[in-house]
Amino acid sequence: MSKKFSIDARVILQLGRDSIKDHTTALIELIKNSYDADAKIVEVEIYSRETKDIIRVADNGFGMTDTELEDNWLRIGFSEKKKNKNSTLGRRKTGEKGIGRIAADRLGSNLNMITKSKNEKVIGIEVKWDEFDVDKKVVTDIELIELENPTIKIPQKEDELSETGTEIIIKNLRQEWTKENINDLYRELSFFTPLSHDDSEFQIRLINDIDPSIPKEVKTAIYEVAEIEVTLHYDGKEELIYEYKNKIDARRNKIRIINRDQFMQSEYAGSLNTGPVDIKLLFFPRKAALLEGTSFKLSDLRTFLNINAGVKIYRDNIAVKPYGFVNSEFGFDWMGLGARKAEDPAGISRPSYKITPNQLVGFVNVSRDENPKINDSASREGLVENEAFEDLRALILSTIRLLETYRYEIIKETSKKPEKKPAHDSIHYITEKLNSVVNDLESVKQYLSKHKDYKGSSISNTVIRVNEAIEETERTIEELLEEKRVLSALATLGIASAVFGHETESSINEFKLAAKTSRSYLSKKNPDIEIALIELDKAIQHSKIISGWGTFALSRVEKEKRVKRERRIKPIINKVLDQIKPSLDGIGVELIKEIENVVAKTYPMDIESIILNLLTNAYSAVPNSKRNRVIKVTLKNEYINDKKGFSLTVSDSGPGVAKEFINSIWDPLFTTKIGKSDQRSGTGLGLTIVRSIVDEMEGEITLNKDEELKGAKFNIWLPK
Amino acid sequence: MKSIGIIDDRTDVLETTSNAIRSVLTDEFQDWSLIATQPFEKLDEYRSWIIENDLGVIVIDQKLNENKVKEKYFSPFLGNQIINNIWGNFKDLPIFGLTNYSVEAMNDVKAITYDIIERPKFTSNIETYVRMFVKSGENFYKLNRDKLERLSELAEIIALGNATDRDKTEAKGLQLDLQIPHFASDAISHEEYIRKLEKNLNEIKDFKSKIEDYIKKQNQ
Repeated sequence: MSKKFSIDARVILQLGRDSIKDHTTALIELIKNSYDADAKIVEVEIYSRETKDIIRVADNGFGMTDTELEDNWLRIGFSEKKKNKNSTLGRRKTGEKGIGRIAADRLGSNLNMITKSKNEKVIGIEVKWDEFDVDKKVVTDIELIELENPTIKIPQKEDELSETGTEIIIKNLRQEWTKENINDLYRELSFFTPLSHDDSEFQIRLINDIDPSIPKEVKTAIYEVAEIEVTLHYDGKEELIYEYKNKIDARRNKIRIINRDQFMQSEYAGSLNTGPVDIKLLFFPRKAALLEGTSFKLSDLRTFLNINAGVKIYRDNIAVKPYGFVNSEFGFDWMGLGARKAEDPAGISRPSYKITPNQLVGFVNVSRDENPKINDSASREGLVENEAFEDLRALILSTIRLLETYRYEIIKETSKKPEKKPAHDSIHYITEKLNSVVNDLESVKQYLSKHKDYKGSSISNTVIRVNEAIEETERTIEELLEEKRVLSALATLGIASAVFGHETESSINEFKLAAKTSRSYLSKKNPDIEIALIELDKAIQHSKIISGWGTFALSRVEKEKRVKRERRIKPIINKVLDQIKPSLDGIGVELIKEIENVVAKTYPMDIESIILNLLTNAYSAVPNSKRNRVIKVTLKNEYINDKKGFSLTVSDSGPGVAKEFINSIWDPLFTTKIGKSDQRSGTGLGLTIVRSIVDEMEGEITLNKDEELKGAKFNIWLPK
Repeated sequence: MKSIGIIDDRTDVLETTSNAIRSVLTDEFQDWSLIATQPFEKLDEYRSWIIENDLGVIVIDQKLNENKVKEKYFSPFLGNQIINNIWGNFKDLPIFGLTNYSVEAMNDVKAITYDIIERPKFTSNIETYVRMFVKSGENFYKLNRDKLERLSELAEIIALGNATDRDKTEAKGLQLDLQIPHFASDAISHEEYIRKLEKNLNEIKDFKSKIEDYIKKQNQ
């Protein structure tokens, strides 16, 4: 006789109890089933006080036939969702384990399930879970009660009549529901589907007798008051489309397409591991002005943000915990926005302005099928933090930066502060004023000496002292300017060291290895002279690069370079290019030079700071595009408005600068370089230094796209 | 011969590192050789490279897109991406990363390699590191040899027609592990094999006699 397993009825209860964390989660499991059944409305009623002791979950989904009830619902572990991942309405089904229905045991000991499918009569069963909780009772021995002539109350939407649906009534509740439980449930339900999708497609009504302050509709209308809404769609390939919606001024709404490489500016372009991604960011400054014309109070907004702030990830419309959940210690600020703000707490008037995590509500929607590299972690909470996840994070961070730049630009335009005068204008102004004072004093002095006033001598002395003070002030200004020049050069050297220094470090390592290898071949029993010589040659080459860098660093702030006089610009540029060449070779960059003879009265240190910062920028940009790596430097004599001058241009084959950032790149601490984890990002100082020098020299600076190399083209014009 | 594979995009660095490792191999491990390559354009090529050269350990630079390979392309993949791909095919193959960056900066990469070695430390302790490469490679070969021997036993059982389902499953698992084309699932019984062979031989005999008849007729 063949042997068979039999299953103890208690196992079913155990399975449900082990899989479901608490009664809130159990209820959500039942609501998920309604979502999967294409319901458009779900009514959830919880009465655990006063006279009633009941939970009711009713939906207007497609219901079940008698056969479906028997073959699917009553077969524990069976999930139709395993076969068909999407519902008829195209929803990605949420549960696949087939145990959601036994979650009901967690809620109460009696369950009535009534259902009606299209063209079928209403059917219903009653389950008494406590009958399962008996020793040595086999599951097949338990007879479920079929309800006689059951009636069903299907939730209705105003505009369409529903004839199908399922109603679950749970009695003899196992646990009393507290206000806290109801609030938790409301919060979880409000996250259930992302608002980036039409939420009228799935409405949840929550009625309870525990906390009357909870609104009946699980609603999120407050989202509409966001000051700025940014939506971004990435197609998983080359381009992104983004849209700004501005609540304060709709004229500032705009929609644009942006190239991914320009948007991300990360190293190794073309290696994003994510598929299509939809991002929606809503920005809420905590101020009452935002709520004008709405029925919300500032306290509503605060409460809403206290519950909802954070950037949440949705997979096929279901939120993935713990990302962006306020009650999660590590998950809430998983983007590290708080730490970022703490590092640079600049306000909105500064270009490096950053938002705080509690001002942002974000939705990131990815589908499982199109993002196979974004996987669940083994612990079932969260995602595996692999490269695809890091790319997703960088993509969201770039979108946040887009929002910040947009807001900064708006505030800059609307605050209409007078443009800050360049330093040299202020100096001219002060010098003129001082000269006028000197002239006035000189006149007084002459008058007094003519009239031989007895008080004249003391006034003359005062005039002399004032004159001396003015001369001293002028000297101080000159010294400060020189100090600024040296500091700019040192800052430039610092930036260049951070970028090019790695090549030198590599050369030191290669020098040591080549020298050691050469020695090892020479000291063998049968020395291999040929290999030893090859390695020695390489060691010599590397030593030249190392000493070249030393010379380069030491020569940056030579005193001679701080003197303004007629200079030949060509050798200054050529020298910097020669010194940087090994670093360019190190990453396979072709350098094209078109350099004319130019003579101009200038400070060599300023010219070096300009070219070095522009080269540093280009060097960082070229690996970010798939094109051949090329940097082109041109120098030529050029007149602007009959003014003699010269122009210096640096172009590159990188991804170029996105229009969105062209106004901000000159501001201190603004950088387009967003690092993935553990990668360096830019300092945001190089172009500020260039701008400051060009302003001081009364020159002009333009940034365009280089038509030939397709990357950025910085053109500097300076007067002779 | 047992081999170490090394991957770097910079030809001079690849040559120096190879010479340095070879020097230690010549002194201490004469049965080991070194196979050097610049990065390949496609990920599939790494699999063939490993199988063709029967590599037992790999040393790979992390930042592989600094130099154009053969004047044609920059490596489209970083070291860690290549490691992930190789381990998809050869899950036990030891792979060591070499880097000019600090190990702290490469923490995420460290998690997926046997070890990540900073170049200055490698230069100072070449002999130690090469011994470590060889030791890891020896373990890998031993593991593979044991598996090959077992597979050979199973192949014999299958050929004799005595294999159980369990034997076939084990053989399939080993072949998957060792990257060998499957035969267990397609294996036919010994008797059936002989029957098919005889049938083929008879067909050839028939064909031969037909040709002989035809020639005879032609000669008549």
